[in-house]
Amino acid sequence: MRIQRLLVWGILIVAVVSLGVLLFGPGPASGDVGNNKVLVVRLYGAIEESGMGILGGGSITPEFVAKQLARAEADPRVQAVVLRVSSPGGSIAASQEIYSLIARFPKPVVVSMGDQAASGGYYISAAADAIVANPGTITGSIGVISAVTNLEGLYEKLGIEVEIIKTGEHKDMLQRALTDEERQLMQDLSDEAWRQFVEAVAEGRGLDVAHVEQLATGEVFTGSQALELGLVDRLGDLDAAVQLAGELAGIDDPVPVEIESPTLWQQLLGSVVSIARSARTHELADLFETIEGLKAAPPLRY
Amino acid sequence: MKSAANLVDRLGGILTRPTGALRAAAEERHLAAAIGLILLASLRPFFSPAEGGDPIGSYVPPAPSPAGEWALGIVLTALFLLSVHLIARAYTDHGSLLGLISAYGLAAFPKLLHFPLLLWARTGAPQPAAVVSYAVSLWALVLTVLAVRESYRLRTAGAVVTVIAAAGAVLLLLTLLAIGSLLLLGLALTA
Repeated sequence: MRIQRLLVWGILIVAVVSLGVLLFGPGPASGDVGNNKVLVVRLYGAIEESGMGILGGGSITPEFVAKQLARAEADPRVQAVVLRVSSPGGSIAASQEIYSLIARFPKPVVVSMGDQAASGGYYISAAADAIVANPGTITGSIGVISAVTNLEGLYEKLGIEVEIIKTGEHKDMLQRALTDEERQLMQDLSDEAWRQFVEAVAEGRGLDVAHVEQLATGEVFTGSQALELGLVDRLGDLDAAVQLAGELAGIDDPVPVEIESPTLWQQLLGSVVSIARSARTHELADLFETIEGLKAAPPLRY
Repeated sequence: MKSAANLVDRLGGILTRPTGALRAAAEERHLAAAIGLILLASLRPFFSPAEGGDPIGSYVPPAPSPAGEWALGIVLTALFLLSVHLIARAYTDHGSLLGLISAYGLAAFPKLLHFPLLLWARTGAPQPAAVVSYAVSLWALVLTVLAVRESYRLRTAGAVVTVIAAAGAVLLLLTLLAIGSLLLLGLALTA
């Protein structure tokens, strides 16, 4: 009985003292086990302003990147970040927001290029401290593309008459065939977005603007070619990118870690939202939604 | 008379002879001590389990809201205990909710060992600390089943089924709440 009581008091005292140390004691000092982490964030898909569904997924959004980087910044165990990029590009504004987030991130950021990091995928990569590509990665595609959809024929086929009341000569230019003047306006917009792309790459990569201009023909390059052209820093896989991130952060033995993927519970919640959305639509509504999407889509993309 | 010495003896009994100690705890109703132990043992979310490093490469980010997680844990525990009581009372006349809280709370005593284990993990031995921590969790789970069994004088199989059914009921309730909220949100988004 006496030993039992001693055991109980022993557990109580050890637990309370441990709790006190956990609450008020010093946190793990730099260099302790666990402070050598490199957070790997996977950025797969098109770059968009917002993801599909509440949990996102299938696209790279500024919100997602901001959340991941905020976690990495707040966590003292994470010394550097590797962004695994596999993207064909996408929204200009979203690419620029992600570029800014990466550029001002206080810890070292290394991009590991996967299958492709083209156009907007390269734009966001250029903000990193270093880029590691596979020899066969498809990258580059520094340019701007626009697609203006003229829906007049479709409306006619559907028997829909659209009456446009506008104030401003070009207000409806994206809803009908472009005039020559409007085509030139669109070209000017495209040129301006191209200029922004070139300047961002030059600044992010520390290259001459003139050199980037020569590369900015929309041409794609393999990782090997990109290395020769100065668009990437090294050839290698994800592990090489982690090692490089460790070097930049000044840690000898970097441990790659990833934020755990969504749990079954979170996936269930995501599915529920999708079901709720589809339950509210039908074929004609879908068609109109698509048309509205085409009309509302920003015409210029990286 | 529920003296401090009696409580210490009960806690000691839970470590060495849990069956009798938990039955006595249910009868004696050490409510204050039980609730205190439940609250204390629930403080774990304030300390990330991966604080000392994770050898397998996965990563558990620090809890975004430890206080919220702690409060949620308390609410879920309350729902769980209520579910256990309702299920158990469906097929036995023995036992009470207060008795269950007393036995369940005292059965949480070994969970206090998680704190020194967290400290151990922080000071450089995350792997053995994690293994021992799992063992303690398993031990606490067994004690939970015993607490239910002794509180309602059930058979072991009945207690296991009751615990599983209560956990399932809480999960189902949460799922329904989440689905309901998300359906409303989904409808609002598509409206």
